[in-house]
Amino acid sequence: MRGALAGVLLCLGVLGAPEARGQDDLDDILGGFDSEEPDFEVDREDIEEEEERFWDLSGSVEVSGSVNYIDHRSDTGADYHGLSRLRNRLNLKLDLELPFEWDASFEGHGFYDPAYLINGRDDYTSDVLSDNELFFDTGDAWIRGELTDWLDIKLGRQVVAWGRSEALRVLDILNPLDQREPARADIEDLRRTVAMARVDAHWEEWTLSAIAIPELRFDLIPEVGSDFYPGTMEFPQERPRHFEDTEYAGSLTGIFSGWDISFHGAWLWNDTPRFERRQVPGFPARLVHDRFWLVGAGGNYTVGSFLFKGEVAYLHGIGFFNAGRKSRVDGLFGIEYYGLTDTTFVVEILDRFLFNYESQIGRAPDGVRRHSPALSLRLRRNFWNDTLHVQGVGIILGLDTREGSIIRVDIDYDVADALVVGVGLLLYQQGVSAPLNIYGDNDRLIFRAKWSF
Amino acid sequence: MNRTLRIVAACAVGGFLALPASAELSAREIMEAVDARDDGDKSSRELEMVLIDKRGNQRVRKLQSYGRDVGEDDQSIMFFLSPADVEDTGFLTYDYDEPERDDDQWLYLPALSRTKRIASSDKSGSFMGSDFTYADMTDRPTDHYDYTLMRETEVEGHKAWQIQAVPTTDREKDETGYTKAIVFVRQDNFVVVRAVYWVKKGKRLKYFDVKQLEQIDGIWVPTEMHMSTRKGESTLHKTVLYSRDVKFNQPLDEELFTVRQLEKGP
Repeated sequence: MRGALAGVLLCLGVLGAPEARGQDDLDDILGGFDSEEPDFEVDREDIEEEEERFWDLSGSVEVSGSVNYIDHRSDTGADYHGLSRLRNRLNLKLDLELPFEWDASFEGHGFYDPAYLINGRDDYTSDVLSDNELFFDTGDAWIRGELTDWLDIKLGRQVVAWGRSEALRVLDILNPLDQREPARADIEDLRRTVAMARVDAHWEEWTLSAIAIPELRFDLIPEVGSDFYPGTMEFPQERPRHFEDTEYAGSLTGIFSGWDISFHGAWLWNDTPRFERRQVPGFPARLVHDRFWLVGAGGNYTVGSFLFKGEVAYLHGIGFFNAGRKSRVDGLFGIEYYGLTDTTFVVEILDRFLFNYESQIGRAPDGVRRHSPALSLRLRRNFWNDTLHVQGVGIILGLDTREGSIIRVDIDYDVADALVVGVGLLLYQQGVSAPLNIYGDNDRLIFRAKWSF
Repeated sequence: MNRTLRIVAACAVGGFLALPASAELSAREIMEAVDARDDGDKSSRELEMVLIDKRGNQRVRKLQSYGRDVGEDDQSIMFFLSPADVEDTGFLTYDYDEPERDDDQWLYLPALSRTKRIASSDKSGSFMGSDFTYADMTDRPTDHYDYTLMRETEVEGHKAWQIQAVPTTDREKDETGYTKAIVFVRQDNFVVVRAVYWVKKGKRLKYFDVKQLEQIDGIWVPTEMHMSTRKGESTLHKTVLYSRDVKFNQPLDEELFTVRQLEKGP
């Protein structure tokens, strides 16, 4: 009898166990509210209180370096194997709140790179040293305000980022680039500010912008003796510099639910110089900048976690050494996908098509084909509550990698608020076309540490 | 409704209970009342997020946030005040009540002087590195959940309903990243004051706890909220979100909730 009762109780126990265990588990889970760990208490002593002021001085201190791990020299003989950059940079920015809701911003930066001293300054050309060892520049330097409820004005050095692309530029050509170390400039340093007068008129979903650019600044390109400069000859460069050379641009942008569209027009100087054929025997070629017209359009369209983007531009007046002025159409299509948690994936496809193509344009120093396609891929993912950031970017010129490609992988870690350290890899695959026909041995490890204040 | 308040209102998940005589309300009716609760309009506030990792290291994000209602839809704009490396970064959102309609989102990146449109129906990602997700910051459609009243209980001395919420669609599970939640709704004001979320990935649980609840201009406002991510017995990460200087019915015109303003900053 006892055995039978025990058996029944055991059966009941066994049968009842899952439910009981489930309830126990739930009770344990709900009891979690009362099991606060001391390590997770907020320490208010570490939290700075914000001061209300009309001015704000901020900036950053950064050390960034490159180590080239392939034995190679520039055409001038400088050894670029090993440490090629150890840039110590200071960036300062002053923001001002002015009366009548106007504001202003002034930013300047400079760096000193002791890598040249460490490696022996005599190995480098004076051009390389003057451009890469000690360098100062201003960034933003503008004043901005409302003229009326619907009219804004912004005067001074600034960046105007047209277009939607991340890596391949079609419309985003108002600001010159820092191309001294291709694909190495961090994105915030890639565009050079130029002095503009910009007026924006707003009407419902539309914004009409008119821009005059009296200051003419051009791409920073590798100097003679740099590992990214082909050859040993330095060519004189003819730059437009007069007030009548002022550039003009305008755009009309409409922003709507789920989509936006913009139309652009500009009369600009090409920021990247080209060789000019000289008619005088004995005179070397010189570098010149062409003035060209641009009309274009761009747009975004979102559906679910996909963003589709497109840009198209017609450029008239692109000059070549081996031919006259030509017209070109640039078209870009891209997709951004945000459907994976903490992940962004971007693909962009571009083609530049040259009208009235002549075969000699394919020869040096132009080296341009009728079609110049390019592909860009970017994958970024954040881990550990946005403290670890992993990003890979690949840019492929041409329909396959024979044209050359650049791959950059970065891993950045937020050690603390506003303190980031990072390492990365920058790979250049040499191609048959400029500019990647000379980059092949420039693969490098990169690192940085940046503290913002 | 301001997105930050949605954290509370959106915690529509829960389980449980034996219905009390007091409230002859079903679980769904309770959650609809939570959703319909007056949470203010034309609001401004300063947000302070303290992110704490398992080694006790703190990171702090401060933001200025504005929100307004547009019919059943919400618009919000937020600006980072600190840390320095993200200062002036802005985030503009049009959050549509219609479940099938994608929200509009723009991110202003001052380092690029550029506004980017973002497309994301997946809201299970971390909100600015915190333990809150974008889904936690937005209103969830009550008709996408099955609610079960589990029991009546008390939270910090206040009577509360314990309700289980289970998403009925895969899309909702994917969007929020949660497979189930148990929420605690205070009976006197229909505020979700606690919740446990079962995270779809990683066998993790998230604990939401309102530590400070204040009545401002007659509206209940959680001014200190905790969200902890746990695995088993150990806490992996925790976020404390403070709301300060909360004001309602501010003279916020529609121009504030535009890309134009996003680029101008706070």
